Amino acid sequence: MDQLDNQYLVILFGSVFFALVITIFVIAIVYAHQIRQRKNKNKLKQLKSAYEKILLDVKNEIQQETLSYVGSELHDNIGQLLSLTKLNLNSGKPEKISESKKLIAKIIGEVRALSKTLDTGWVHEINLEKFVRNELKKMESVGFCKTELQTNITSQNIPKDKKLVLIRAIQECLNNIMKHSSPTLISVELSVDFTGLTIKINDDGGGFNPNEKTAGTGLQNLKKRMETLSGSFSLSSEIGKGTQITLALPL
Amino acid sequence: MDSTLKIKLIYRVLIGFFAFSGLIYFLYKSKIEKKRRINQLILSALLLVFFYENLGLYLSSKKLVNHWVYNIFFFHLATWIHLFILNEFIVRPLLKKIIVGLALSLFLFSGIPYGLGFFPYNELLNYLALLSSSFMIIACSFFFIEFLSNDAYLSINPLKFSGFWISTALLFFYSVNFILFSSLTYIINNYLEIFVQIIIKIPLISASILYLTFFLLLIKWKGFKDYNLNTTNGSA
Repeated sequence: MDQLDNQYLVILFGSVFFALVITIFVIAIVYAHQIRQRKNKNKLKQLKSAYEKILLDVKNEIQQETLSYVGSELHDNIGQLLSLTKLNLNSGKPEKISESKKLIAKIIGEVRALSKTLDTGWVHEINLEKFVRNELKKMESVGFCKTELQTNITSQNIPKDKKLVLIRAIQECLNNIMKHSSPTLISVELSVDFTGLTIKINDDGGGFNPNEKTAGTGLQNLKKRMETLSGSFSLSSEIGKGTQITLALPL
Repeated sequence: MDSTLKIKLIYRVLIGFFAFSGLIYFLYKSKIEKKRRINQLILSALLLVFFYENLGLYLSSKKLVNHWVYNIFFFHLATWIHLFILNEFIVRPLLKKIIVGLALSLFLFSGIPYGLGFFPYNELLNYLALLSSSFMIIACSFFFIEFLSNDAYLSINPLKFSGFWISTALLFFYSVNFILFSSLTYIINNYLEIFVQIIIKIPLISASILYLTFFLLLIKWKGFKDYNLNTTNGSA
């Protein structure tokens, strides 16, 4: 019976030990899971604040861009028209006065159009295709280069905030082309498929070496912004062969 | 009445209660709930254990050897159902396929040889026990790896997730079986008295815990939350 008692104790201790192991295992799993949850929560918080910061930056940049556009329009367009009107009126000839009346009507139209651009609410109202078309039209109208737009977007449902960042990214890409490249043609392709929205911006300008380090942070910012939206930014360029930019955004 | 008999009696009463109450709950469930695979599997597991335990009891009361009952219904059918129950709590398609592969392997390496008579028909077979326990332990490990690595579980509170408790209970139950059956012949040959008096209690207790977790999931106990894991059937 002594041997039986000993065996009983061994089994009892074995069972208690096994139950303990299982209990520790459960506690460890729960604890590890909680650590993961906490880390994920912090990561989400960081992403949210980064996203909010980007949105704020984008809004500011769009405001700045609008103001600088209004400034140049006032100086180059309305200012010129007003000067011409003044000259006409000073001449005192009847045909010049009638021409001045026409010029004033034109100025009124220009001021109306300009006042509309001051309202940044347009960003929310406009659809992406119309925005790109307008931007390309502006570039063509100043005689910068020829442009073309290809799109298969019939209806789109891009959240407002994402659209804001996208619009700013497209603006930034086009500004870069205007600043650094001298293309004869800029072509933009907007396409939507099951993977999401893709925007391809190609120019046949001078191109550059993407591996060469530059002082500017524009491209890095663009990349970071697109990644914050769970999208991507890619660029390929070669000296003398133009630049191709692809912005992709899952919808 | 000695303590082993008491535990056996409690176990039989419990599985009877779980099977019948579970069946009644299931019959009163909505059509959508009845169609959910997890509910069907849990009910099948509870009814199956009630059936084979009572069949085993009936045969032993008639002084007949009942090992074939456990060989067929526990080591094969019940393990298959348990594998598929576990599969319902796994999200990654690859792991789901592996678990289905384990169920098929069990059929291939254990079901077919047993069915074709390669193993003695009416002996308690350690091989079958070890194989089924190993497969279940592997499947449980997959669940826990998935649970700690897949983002689908991030919003889940493990203490309120039925899948977590069922997997833990399955791991506990099959680990006990693995240890027990790996030394069963030795224990029975050398320490039959200890086996009958003490050791037999451990799997009975672990089985009771397992079927309790099944039952609690089936009756939608308030302590468990219904998490949507985007599994084949929507939620688990």
